[in-house]
Amino acid sequence: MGIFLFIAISALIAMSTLQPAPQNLFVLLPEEDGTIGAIEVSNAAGAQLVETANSGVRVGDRTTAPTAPKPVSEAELQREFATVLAAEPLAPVTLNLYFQVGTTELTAASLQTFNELFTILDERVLPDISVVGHTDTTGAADANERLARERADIIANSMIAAGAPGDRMEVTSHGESNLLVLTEDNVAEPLNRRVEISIR
Amino acid sequence: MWSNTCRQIFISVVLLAAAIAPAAAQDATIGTIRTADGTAAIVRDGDRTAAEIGAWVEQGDVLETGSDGALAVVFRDNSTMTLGPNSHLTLDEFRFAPTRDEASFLSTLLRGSVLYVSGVIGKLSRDSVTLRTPVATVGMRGTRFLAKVEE
Repeated sequence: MGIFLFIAISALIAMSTLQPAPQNLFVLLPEEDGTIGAIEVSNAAGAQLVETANSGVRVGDRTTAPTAPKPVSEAELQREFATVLAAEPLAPVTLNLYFQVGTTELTAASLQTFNELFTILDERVLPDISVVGHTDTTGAADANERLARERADIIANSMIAAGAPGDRMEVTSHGESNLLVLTEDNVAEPLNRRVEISIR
Repeated sequence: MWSNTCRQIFISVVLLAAAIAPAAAQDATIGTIRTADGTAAIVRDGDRTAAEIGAWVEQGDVLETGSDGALAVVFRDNSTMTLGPNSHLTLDEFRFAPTRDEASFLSTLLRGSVLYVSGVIGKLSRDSVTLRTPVATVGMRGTRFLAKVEE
């Protein structure tokens, strides 16, 4: 029994010294909604594009080309990144508000969304809030920047009046430069004429 | 030239715009701390402050964690970066103003581990988000990824 245990322990120690030397590792993960983006890892010696979820590239040093992408096991992800993954914060929430056509009144659905915002605010300690006005592509870009800003200001004021922290709120305009529904220039698209609120 | 009604409406819109209260104080800020565990600090212009949830983060800041630390920041474009222990990350550049065609996020991971989840900047334009490390540079596109750099 004693000899058996000794052999088992020696084998364990010998195996552990065969672990590969730690390397620099870059792993692509799927986003929360399942979409997969891409990363390109490059240095002077070479470049690798990773487009498959849970695939990773290793780099020995800056004069050695990155290795080709290979799947990274869940076990290795946990071993290398458990603390990071556990510390990931709540994902930001983004909601869009719409006005009744030609007015500064919210649609009925948007009034409900407006109330939802406060539930979301309550889930976070000292949240950071963006109120961003947007337009569609009809009309001139600079007029749209101003119009979007006016709409954002109206919403921001309403939120503050309802108790949201104005000192943690940023109000901006993206004019026609950040479309929800991609269109050509001068295309009317109601879904683009929105105020977008993000809570972080 | 303008009717009375037109002028009245114009004036009310101007007054409404002037009444806006949100503080411009945090114009220089690019994000806020969301997780701060163990030894975790923001270093700005040589001054080190213990990281606290809700604290603002600025372009140029260095985020550092000790062997027991973890730190997460959510940025103005809704991207997030989470640092593991023994990490050092510099926020070199964060520009987010789509109407001026500005959308870029450059940072440097000197050592440690980071989880990056992209926001609007990564989706607005290709090659706008870059993480530099001592061994390789990572270009990101609408994505979520992990990086680990040994010292």
